[in-house]
Amino acid sequence: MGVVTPLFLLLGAAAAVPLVLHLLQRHQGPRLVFPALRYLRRAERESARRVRLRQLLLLLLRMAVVLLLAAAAARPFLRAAGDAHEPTALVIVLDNSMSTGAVQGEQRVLDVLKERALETVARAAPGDRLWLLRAGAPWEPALTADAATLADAIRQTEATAAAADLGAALERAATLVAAGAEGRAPEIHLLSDLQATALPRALAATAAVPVVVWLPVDDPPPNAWVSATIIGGGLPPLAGRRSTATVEVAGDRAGDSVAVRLALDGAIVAAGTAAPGAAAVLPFPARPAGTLTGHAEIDPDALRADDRRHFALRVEPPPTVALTGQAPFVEEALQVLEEAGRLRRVGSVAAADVALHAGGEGLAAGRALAIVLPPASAVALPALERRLAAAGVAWRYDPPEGGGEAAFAPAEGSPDELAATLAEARVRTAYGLRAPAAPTAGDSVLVALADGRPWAVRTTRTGGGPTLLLASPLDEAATTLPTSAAMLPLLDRLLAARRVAAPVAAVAPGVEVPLPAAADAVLLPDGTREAVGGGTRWGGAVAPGAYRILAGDSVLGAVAVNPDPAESELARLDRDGLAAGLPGWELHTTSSAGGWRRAVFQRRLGSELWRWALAAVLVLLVVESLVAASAGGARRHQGGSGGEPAPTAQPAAADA
Amino acid sequence: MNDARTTPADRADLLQPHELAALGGMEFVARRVVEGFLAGLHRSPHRGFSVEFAEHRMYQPGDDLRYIDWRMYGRSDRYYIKQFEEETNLRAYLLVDASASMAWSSDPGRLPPKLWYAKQLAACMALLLLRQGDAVGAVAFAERTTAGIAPRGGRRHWHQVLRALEPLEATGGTDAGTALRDIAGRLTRRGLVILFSDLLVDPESTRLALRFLRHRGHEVLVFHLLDPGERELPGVGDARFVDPETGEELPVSVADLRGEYRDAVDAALEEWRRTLAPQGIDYVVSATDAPMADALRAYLAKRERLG
Repeated sequence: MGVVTPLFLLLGAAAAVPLVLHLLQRHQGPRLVFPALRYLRRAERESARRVRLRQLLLLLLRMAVVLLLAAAAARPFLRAAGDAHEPTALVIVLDNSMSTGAVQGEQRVLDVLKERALETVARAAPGDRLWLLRAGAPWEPALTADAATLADAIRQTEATAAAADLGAALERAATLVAAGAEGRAPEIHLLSDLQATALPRALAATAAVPVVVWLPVDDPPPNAWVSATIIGGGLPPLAGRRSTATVEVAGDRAGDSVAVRLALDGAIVAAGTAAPGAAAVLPFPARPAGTLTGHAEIDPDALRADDRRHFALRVEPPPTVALTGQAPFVEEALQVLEEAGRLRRVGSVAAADVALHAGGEGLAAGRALAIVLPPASAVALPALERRLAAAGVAWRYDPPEGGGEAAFAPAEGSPDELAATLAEARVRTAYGLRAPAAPTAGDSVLVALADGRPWAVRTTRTGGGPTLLLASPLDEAATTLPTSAAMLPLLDRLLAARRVAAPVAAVAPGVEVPLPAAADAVLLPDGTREAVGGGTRWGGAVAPGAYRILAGDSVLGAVAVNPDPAESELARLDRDGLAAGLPGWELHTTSSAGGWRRAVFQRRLGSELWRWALAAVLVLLVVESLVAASAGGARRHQGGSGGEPAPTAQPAAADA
Repeated sequence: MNDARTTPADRADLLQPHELAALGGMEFVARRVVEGFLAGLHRSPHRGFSVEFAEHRMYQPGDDLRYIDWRMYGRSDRYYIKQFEEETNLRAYLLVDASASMAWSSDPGRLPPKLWYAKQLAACMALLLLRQGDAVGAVAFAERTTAGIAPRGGRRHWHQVLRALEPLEATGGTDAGTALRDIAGRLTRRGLVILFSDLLVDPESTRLALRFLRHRGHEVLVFHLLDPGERELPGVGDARFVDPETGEELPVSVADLRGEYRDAVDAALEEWRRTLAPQGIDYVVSATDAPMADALRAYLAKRERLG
């Protein structure tokens, strides 16, 4: 129900007039001398209840007449009737996130959503303004066009690999209708599979906009997905060295093992099985140095997009390492790593990819990675300070602080094996690492203690070489590291820090990727080559897969794009969950195609009711006349006989 | 036989009250009404007065032709009427309600006040009674009885009755019960009591007093004078109705009560009739817009039953 001219509803206040007249009526009127007051009092006494009821009925009838007249003037109409609607500014939020690609029954969820969206567009009128907002492609601007163009865009919409943030999409939609409605009735259509992870936090209403929501009632199909692929326990394999790939499988098909396969550069190299919630450790063959892409996959299920997880990595030859100064535990560890093929020892710092400087001895400007180990005694700190200054390192060491042992800060969620091994290690002596007043860009803390003090810091020195400063000497007096299992992985990762910029990356769909200055093209997963500008940020990585960054024919790096694993969790919001997630929003939910057709375009211009209101007024007036006439019939009788009533003398007692 | 040729147009008893009022004073009007009424009786089904002959008197227009002594006509060529002994035995008391409510007329330009109608009717009754040789007395009352005249016979007594009635003014409240009991105390011989009132009185005490009169052996005839405007509420919307006797005020929405009021009036009249009839009290509703012949005829019926 709605009204075309709501201001006329104010006329309804005139309904108070009959009420006021009714209340004042009994105290007004002329004063008439009338001797037969006895009969009048008797008549009033006998009919008081009936008269009051009649007066109340008349009052209600008259008030109803006034209210109906006001309603008729306001031109009411039934929203539910008819297809016409007020000019509407409508944003269709179409969820095309990865989860909508799931097949349910015989149809993709996205196809159902597109059907509803097309029904909406088919009902749009020329006076409407329409936007299409694809929640699964948040990097795209909203599309506004005529109904036909919008219908084509809807038909061409495909599921992306991205996750949808329904809250953000609704906020965008509300902003769009607020800015572009231009007097039209605002409305938002939310077409989504209502994946619970798409609304991770409650979003209070920001505008009074009706939101028509498609509410799927079926349970989502069972799904399994590759949640992570970890190569070499977190360390990229070295050229010519075999390694392992850990493929983690998640899903709601617990106990139902699935086949797991590992592919490198398009060729399957290993296979195994794993149940959802478990991982399959597959052998990773030795590869030559270079950029390597691949994926781990499981058998297809209802949602295909998350059955394959891509990775990109850089296979490099073992680094050459030199050690200066006295560090026996480091010496032994390097020897072990060399025997394992993880590095190659050289005697000259100038010939080494990585140089470890115990007490800062031999530290100089250069491009190679330098790792500074502090001296065992604080007495040697001034000498270290001079060497740091000479090499152009801005950070400084302070004497050890506090007493007792300190633990390393936990690295939660890190797949790196180092994080677990460091948790067991303790630090007895840690020098303070003092940052310069003007930190160098790119400075970072690699490892920190549990109390927040930095333990390993990355910075640069003169010549541009990366420099790592450790807070403790790697001996058993200062830390338990030399005698723990963490020693070798720690050195392995410290040596891996020699890369100036990561040539490979793993990002979510749509995330912009910084390109090296020399980059001129990107090789897309489908084999096409897209020209890019070097040194810019590129946002074309939207489809899952491995993207190779090229400079001519040389591969500079690679980017693996994978959907957010949370997008694979298909559990849906129910009506209560939706209301709790969107408090204050004017939600109209429906789960059927017919219900959708009835719910869309809330400001429906149905058949106007003013004629019915006027007809009701006429009926009420007739009823009012009849009720009033039942009381005043004698008045008309008197008037009709010319005021000549004829009471006659009757001998009532004759013969009685 | 001039009276036998009297046309209906000449009969004042059939005239409307406002036409009667235009004829002149009470004496003239009453005489014309009575004469007209008596003339009409020639066509009336009513029969004579009594049985025991007393004397002759000259025929007068209106006398029943059945009582003309044809033998005397044969001897003297004059009309004589035979009179009977019992006719002179009746003592009649005319009781006129002169309370304030009797001054009311719903249409003062067209309808006379109820008191005027009552006085005129009483004068006619007195003339009829006196002509029949009865004794007539008259008393007015409101809250109490006022000075009246004692019952006496003779033609000239009629003028005394008129002089007692003519100056009556309607004023004050009504206490018919007390007035009737007062009168009952004064009446030493049984007779006919004729009450002219609008009966806007306390019904219980009035009925009790009327029954008391009957208990004392009196015949009672009640003329309930009713203005047509009392049968129907006036054609106004809302009004505050004021009782002229008590000053009491009652706000009323006329449209709401019109039908109920009519029913209340009918119920009240029916109640008077229903309660008086078993007591042998004649009850006549006389509208003040009706010809007086109706009321006189009612009296005549009563008189005939008395013999």
